[in-house]
Amino acid sequence: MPMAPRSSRTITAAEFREFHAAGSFSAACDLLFNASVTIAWSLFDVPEDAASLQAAFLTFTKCLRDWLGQRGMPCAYLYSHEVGQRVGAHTHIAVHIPPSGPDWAERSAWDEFPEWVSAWSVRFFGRPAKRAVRVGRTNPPTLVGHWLRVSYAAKGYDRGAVLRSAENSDDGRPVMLGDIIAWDWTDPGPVALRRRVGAARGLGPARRRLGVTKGTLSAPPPAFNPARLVLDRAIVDNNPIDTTARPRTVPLAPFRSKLEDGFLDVRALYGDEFCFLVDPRLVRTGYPTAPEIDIVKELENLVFD
Amino acid sequence: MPDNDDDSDLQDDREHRAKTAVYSGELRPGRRSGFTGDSLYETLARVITGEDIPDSVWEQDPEPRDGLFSLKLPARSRKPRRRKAKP
Repeated sequence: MPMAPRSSRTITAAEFREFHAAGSFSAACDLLFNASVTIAWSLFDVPEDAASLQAAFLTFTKCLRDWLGQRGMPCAYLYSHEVGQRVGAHTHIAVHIPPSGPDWAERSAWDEFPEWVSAWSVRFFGRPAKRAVRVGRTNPPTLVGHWLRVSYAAKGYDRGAVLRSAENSDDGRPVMLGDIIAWDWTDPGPVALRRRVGAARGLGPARRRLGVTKGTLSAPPPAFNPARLVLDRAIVDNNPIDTTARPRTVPLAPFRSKLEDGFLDVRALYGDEFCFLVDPRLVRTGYPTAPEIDIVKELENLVFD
Repeated sequence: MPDNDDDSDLQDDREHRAKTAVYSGELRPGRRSGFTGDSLYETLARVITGEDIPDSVWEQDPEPRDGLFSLKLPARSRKPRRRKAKP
């Protein structure tokens, strides 16, 4: 009996809320996504079942985490799995790579990154595959480039998802999930993996509750412990004069994205500069100076067949 | 070689104008040109090569909604491919 075709696996409103929160948190920690990697698994002959794809993807993220860690850099990335009609199963990864390295290093991670990705594919699949891996980078990192990458990874969203009903909307029309995503909708295909989109653990909910991601403070943040937060707060409240003596015991405020707080205005979610790029009508004041990035180059880097 | 310099100056000027048009919003990444299948790259290629694009071919923009994306970036646009010269 022939198998029924699997349906496309779109990004739900809840998945996008989490995805956007991770992207916002990364930007708030000054870890702007300035590099994008796309890996077409089928061109490496990886079987398109969930277990094989998950194993292949985890080898990449583990190596990426190790590679960044060895260089003392924080691990901040987002990913989105898709299945294209021509290239099959592939994954878009937006990652932060510091543009400059420490003085002692002969080459910065920025210079090494494309070669490292190519070498990784040869190491794990035993051969290079033409067009199977694409790396795009932007130097210096910009907020516009950051949101371009996040939004591109979210282009396979659920077109039927309603974020605000017509009754509760200012103009009497429902606000759909697609109304706050900057790219044209694209069919993401039948993604077999359990998670359609995701982020590095350092950008996840636990880290957001801490208010800071690993590797962005001079001293490592303490492990998350709700009981300790309450105790520290009580100590500070009872000793208002002595707060400076215990600077590290005061936890940072948990991070919440604008979307998590209920904002649906794209200017609040992405910033005026990005919105101006997508639709100049959104920003009434306009931008007299051109954005810092070359939008044509950015699009060339991002768009993957 | 002065001729080549002139050509490259002209090309630079057209590229500059095309990019200025994008930045100013005259050409928008999310806007179709009206030529079948044309989007940002094809339109830019036409501008860069000096081809005139009549106003009448522009599609009507979707009605704007305050604070939401009515226009979109084109997820499927590509760089214009160079055609091989016929022998």
